[in-house]
Amino acid sequence: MNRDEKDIELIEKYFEEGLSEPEAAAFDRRLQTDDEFRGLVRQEKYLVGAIRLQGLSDELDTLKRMEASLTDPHIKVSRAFDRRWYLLAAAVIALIVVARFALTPAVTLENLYQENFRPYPNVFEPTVRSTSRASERSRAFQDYEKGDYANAATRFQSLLKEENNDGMLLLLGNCNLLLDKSDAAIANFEQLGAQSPELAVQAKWFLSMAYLQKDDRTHALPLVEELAATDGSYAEKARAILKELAP
Amino acid sequence: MSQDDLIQSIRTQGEKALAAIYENYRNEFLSWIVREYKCSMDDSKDIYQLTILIFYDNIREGKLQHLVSSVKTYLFGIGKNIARERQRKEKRLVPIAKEKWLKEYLIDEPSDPLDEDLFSHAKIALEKLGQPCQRLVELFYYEKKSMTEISDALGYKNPDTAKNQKCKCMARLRKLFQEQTTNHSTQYDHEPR
Repeated sequence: MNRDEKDIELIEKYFEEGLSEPEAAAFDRRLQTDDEFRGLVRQEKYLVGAIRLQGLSDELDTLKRMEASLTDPHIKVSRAFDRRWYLLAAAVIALIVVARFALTPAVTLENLYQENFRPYPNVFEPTVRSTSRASERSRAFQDYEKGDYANAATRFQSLLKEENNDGMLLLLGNCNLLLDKSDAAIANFEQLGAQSPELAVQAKWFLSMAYLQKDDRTHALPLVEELAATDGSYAEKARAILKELAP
Repeated sequence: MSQDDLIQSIRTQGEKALAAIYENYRNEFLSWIVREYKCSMDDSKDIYQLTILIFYDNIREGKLQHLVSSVKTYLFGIGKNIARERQRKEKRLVPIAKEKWLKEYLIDEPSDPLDEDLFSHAKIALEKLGQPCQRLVELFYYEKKSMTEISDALGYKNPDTAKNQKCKCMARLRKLFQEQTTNHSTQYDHEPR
């Protein structure tokens, strides 16, 4: 092994945090005194940095997709309002209320479902850069992301027979909702709620969506009430639904 | 679930547990950052996404193993630093440069500030590396997978084969990087700029 190869091996060990104390001390000394060695370390730092940036960027894309499916919280920012603005705002609100009662048709559960249901994003297995050997599993997630929910559902169903996976079960439920198979979706979300503490809130929300889709107020209402009483991500949407359902 | 259990579940379950954390603290975080730092909603979401990424990265890198405070306090602490950096460095009306921010997070040191050109060369070299090498080095350096896990994920005969492949891939990546810097006549003199 020549000097360069030895240095590369040492540098790899450094980036893997595998140097012993004496090795680390010797490494630091060389960094101070050996320009060529310092250059090699810097090169490795940028290469490892680029590799890690790739991973972080993929995860950032996943978070962006997830964010796109959530509603903005209502934030009260205190501002010194002129009294006239309050009066104007009150007049506008009064007009809106009158117009709403005069013009808006009665709210149906189906309407509430359509207004509130957004498919859960695939945050479980991003398909940004698939390898050439696409497995049945990655094809299922790809189908879901493409919006081919019928194929995605078939693939998720057969994969779930081999492996009980919370993420796949959540997305299968979403596929069933999108295919108007409310009963199948209800079974999926009930199972998910029973088996996954991490996705329990999501399970409850989508279960409520499935009951709204099925026009089943008796089962939908308690779920929406439970969600509305929390301060989680779905609470605001749940409170808005409750308001609509109020007699 | 205790704070340490939560960290353990993020380490083992990865993005699934992270998605749950993202949703759990999102509304409170966004409300706080909008009020406290007068950020727009879009900026606040960018800051929250960077916060979650850093939180996850610290767990994966082993920098965060035990929480002395709550997850919420930790997240708000990261968010506060990002919001302050943003106020210090960037124009308010321009969207947050998330990639630049991440590069600085990965590379920047007081004695060796980020060299954007060098980073671009490293990125291009990585693109040229192709599959399965790209995936292999990402599993190793980013996801911190063991050679056994990498061997299983990429279908190698055994962990030694995976280790051997990793060495070959990195050697090729270094060569591509050197070609890239030479082709672009960059004077890479091994000295911090």
